[in-house]
Amino acid sequence: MTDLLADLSWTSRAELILVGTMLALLALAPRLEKSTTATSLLGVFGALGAGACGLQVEGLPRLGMLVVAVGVVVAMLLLQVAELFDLRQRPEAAALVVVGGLGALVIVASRSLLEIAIGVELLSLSGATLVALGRGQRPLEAAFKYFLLSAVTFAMFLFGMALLFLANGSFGLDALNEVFGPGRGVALAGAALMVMGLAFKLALLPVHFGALDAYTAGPASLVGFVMLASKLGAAAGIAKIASASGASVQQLLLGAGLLTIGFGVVASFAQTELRRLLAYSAVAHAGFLAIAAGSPKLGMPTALFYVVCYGAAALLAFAALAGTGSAANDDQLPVARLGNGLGRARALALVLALASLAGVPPLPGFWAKLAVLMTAWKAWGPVPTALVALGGVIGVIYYLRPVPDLLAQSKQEGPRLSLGVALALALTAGLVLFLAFAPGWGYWLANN
Amino acid sequence: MSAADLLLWSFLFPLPTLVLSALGLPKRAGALSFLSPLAILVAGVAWLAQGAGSAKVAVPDFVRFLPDGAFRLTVDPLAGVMLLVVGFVSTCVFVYSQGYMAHDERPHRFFAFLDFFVACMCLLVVAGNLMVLLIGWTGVGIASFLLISFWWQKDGGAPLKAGYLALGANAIGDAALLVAVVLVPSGLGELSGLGAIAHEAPERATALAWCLVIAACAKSAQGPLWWWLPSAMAGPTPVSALIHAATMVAAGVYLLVRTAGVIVDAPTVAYTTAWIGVWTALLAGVASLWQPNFKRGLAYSTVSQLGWMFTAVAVGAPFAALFHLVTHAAFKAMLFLSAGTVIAATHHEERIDQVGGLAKKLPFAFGYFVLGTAALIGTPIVTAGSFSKDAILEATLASPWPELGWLLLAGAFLTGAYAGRLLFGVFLGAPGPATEHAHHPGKIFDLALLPLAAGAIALGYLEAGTGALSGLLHDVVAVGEPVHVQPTLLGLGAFAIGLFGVAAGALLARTSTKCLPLPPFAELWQALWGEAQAIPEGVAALHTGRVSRYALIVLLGVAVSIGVAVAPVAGREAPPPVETKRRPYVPTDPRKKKDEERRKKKEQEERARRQQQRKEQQQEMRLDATRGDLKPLKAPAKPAEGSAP
Repeated sequence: MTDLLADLSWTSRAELILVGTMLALLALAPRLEKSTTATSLLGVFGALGAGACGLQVEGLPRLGMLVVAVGVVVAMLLLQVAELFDLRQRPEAAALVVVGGLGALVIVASRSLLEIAIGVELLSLSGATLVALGRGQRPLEAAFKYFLLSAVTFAMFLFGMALLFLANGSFGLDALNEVFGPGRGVALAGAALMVMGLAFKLALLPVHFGALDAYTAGPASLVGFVMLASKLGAAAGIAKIASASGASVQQLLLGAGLLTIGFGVVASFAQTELRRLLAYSAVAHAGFLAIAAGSPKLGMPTALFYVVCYGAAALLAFAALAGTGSAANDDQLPVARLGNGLGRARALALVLALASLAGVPPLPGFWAKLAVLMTAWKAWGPVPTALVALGGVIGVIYYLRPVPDLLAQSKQEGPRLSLGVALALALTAGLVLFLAFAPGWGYWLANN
Repeated sequence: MSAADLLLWSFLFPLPTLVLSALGLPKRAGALSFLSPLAILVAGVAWLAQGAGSAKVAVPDFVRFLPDGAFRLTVDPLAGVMLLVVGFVSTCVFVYSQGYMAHDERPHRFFAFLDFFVACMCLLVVAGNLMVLLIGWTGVGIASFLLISFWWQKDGGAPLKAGYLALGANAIGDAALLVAVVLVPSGLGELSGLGAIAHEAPERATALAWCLVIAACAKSAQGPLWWWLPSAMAGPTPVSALIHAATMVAAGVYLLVRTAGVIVDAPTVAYTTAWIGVWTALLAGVASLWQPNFKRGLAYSTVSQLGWMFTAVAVGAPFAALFHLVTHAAFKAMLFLSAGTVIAATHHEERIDQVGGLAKKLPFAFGYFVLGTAALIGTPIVTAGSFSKDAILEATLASPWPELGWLLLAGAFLTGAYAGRLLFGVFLGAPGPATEHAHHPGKIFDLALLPLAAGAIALGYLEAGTGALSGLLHDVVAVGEPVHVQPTLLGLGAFAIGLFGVAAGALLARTSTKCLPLPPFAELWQALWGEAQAIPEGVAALHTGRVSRYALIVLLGVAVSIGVAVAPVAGREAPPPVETKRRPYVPTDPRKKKDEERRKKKEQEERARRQQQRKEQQQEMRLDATRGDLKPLKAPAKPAEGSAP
């Protein structure tokens, strides 16, 4: 037994720890439903274990494990205020969060298409169900749409895999590189299908719809994690497939990315609710991620750096919103009167998150966009770079729209901050500020 | 630690008062805030006293993915002079704001935002490379947004909309600057050495110049990006004076002066910039006459004066531009603050036809406004504006494009007209409805402007006759002809034209509306703008919530994606398959083994035939090539054949 453990890579150990945590959460669910603290602690320990494994290795798996660990920890801290339909389902929600983290980690560490497929399936399972656990009718409807579309896109992914196997008889990621001759067209069609299948998780045009619904209607305290995990997994998977399949798939990603940025930016102007604004923002950011992942050089590190910077801000934004909505309408937060009743700490956190999402220097969102611009310039030349730059900064208008209102918030007005929310806010805000003043470190983590 | 080293960190000076204000301290808002800009001013004066040295600091590898990813701060004479301007004007505006914002609901917020602005402005000035400059550049834009929309709930959200406009224009400039950051090749990171790009990487030089000009146009409301500045007047008047007249809008000119080498080395860009400057100066001058709101009239005047500075940089006289920037900062801030006094005295009345004859009730404000008007039209010897304006005129007339200089001279008439209209419309003539209830708002409104008034008179002598400013800057900025105290013929001519303008403005101020009627295309513009605002909702309407629609779009999108991915190999005759170790998995059935063998044989034959074909083709091509080589040898033989018989 010990020999078997010694042979395992650190990535496998982290995955095993997550599986163990999930099993423990499910097995103990009847007891844990009475104590949210115990549930959260169990989840946090699992995440910390996975993160500790990440410190033992280098390269992509380390980044994956650390990001997943942070995401799971934040979700666990917010579990107390999670807007669940049935509050006794907290252990199940916690287990699903762990499953989502596992899915993202499997994709980041994958060496074959089969592993990516398993990761995608784990992500879908976790994402759709977490949204469905939310309070009210809308989360259920949104989760159904999300699940339906993720099934369709997963079928596309499988079909793409089948085409590649037809062309080359292998599920290895390198297999794409080795296909020449008449099978090339089939292999490229397969790659395109796989990219589009994964693009659903990224919320890339034209497969962004389900994500829009889910991010708008899902419980605020958990959606931040769902976004982070799916973006991490999808970006890593797409970068792997794109770098293996050559110029035409990369151009496809550039085109889809530019379209997505354009759509996300223009449509965001019409949004009057914060949750919808954040959902459309997730779409616009998917465009940048796709362009990064589709770059011939440095695609993977740029995409992952982007995920880290975006994820920190998105987690912060949703942590600030966690537990603020009323039971009836969780998603109705009009941007024009956002300041009402959030309280100063949440309002300031939201300002920081929105400014980072908008790409205000020197916040991490800015460094991430600069990194994408740099790769876009090297790979595609001036015109796409200029378009990306414009799409990157014009959003500042709608992101900063609620800021005057938020800054006018006084201390007393908001709901009481529970310990979990306060910790989550401190952790994510600290992460955003750290990345703001040490962008080099974040990039090193993604590139090493 | 020398004063230059201290100035490197001037952007941190406002932080203590920012934190205090954010915490709601001291009880009388802003009572301590003026200390931060004053500290910058004092440090600047100390720097001058120590001989105006330079200082640098750099954190290498701050951002690893950029060619020049260092975090650089630099203080040189140009940055020092700019910091002095920022410190000087800010101190006056901070003191004035204590009076102006005394009755506001949230004065602490106001001072916190002002401190944030000053911090970002200082960072912009001491930036050693474009990346750091961009941080300050975006920061001042955001501070400007926060301050424009400071009363965001007033007038049905009009200030908030004005704030969006400012953000939008700024975003275009930020995008241009972002591209510029990416464009700068490694080794040319430092702003002062950016001019060498024309030799080091000539293929990028023009693109970089365009980016810098677009960014500067956005910040300084020039050319096609002018529209945000007039609506920015929805903010409190001290903000208009500090940000939208003296410092932030001048940042565009500062950037161009800093990178004048890049602009001048790209002749097309320089020529376009010069025209942008001249046309903005002229059109904004006319537009000022249309404004029923006197503060907006002043805003157009700022746009127009910035146009003069743009022209100066573009014709290769960055020093003249900087000189005008310094003097203009003093007298335009003074004009705005005296307009602010009028607004405070008349309980927020900004319409010019509602006021008039205020000179008796507000003698100080009237005096300042007269001085400001005199400086605008360039009254020789007694105002600073005359020296800097003449320097620009002379440089433009001496440039390869003297026609621009003549146009600017015509612009002097417009300057006089809009300044005269405001002076006569607000302070002289028949009293308006709001004049009766006007009362003097307080001593602080008069005293805070005294330093600015002194500056509007004396700052010209920094250069005129003494050459102190050019002596300070000659290492950093290309300086032109020395400026003399005695007025030139050109200067006197420009002044005379300006006086005619003032007379015309005074006549306009006697009409009932006190402004020119709006031209018809203004309505068309409004209508177009209204239409454009419906676009986002149309795009967002794609998100209907119907799964059937989603599925349709997904399927179409995926079909297109496959097409894009396969396009490069489609339609091409498939080359022969390459032997690889891995073979496609083909299920074998013993019954069909014979068929299989036959098929394989056929395939092999086919492959051999193709290879043969290709060989033949290649041989033919080689033969073609050989014939091609021979052709020149054959060609001269032809006429010989023809002539033989």
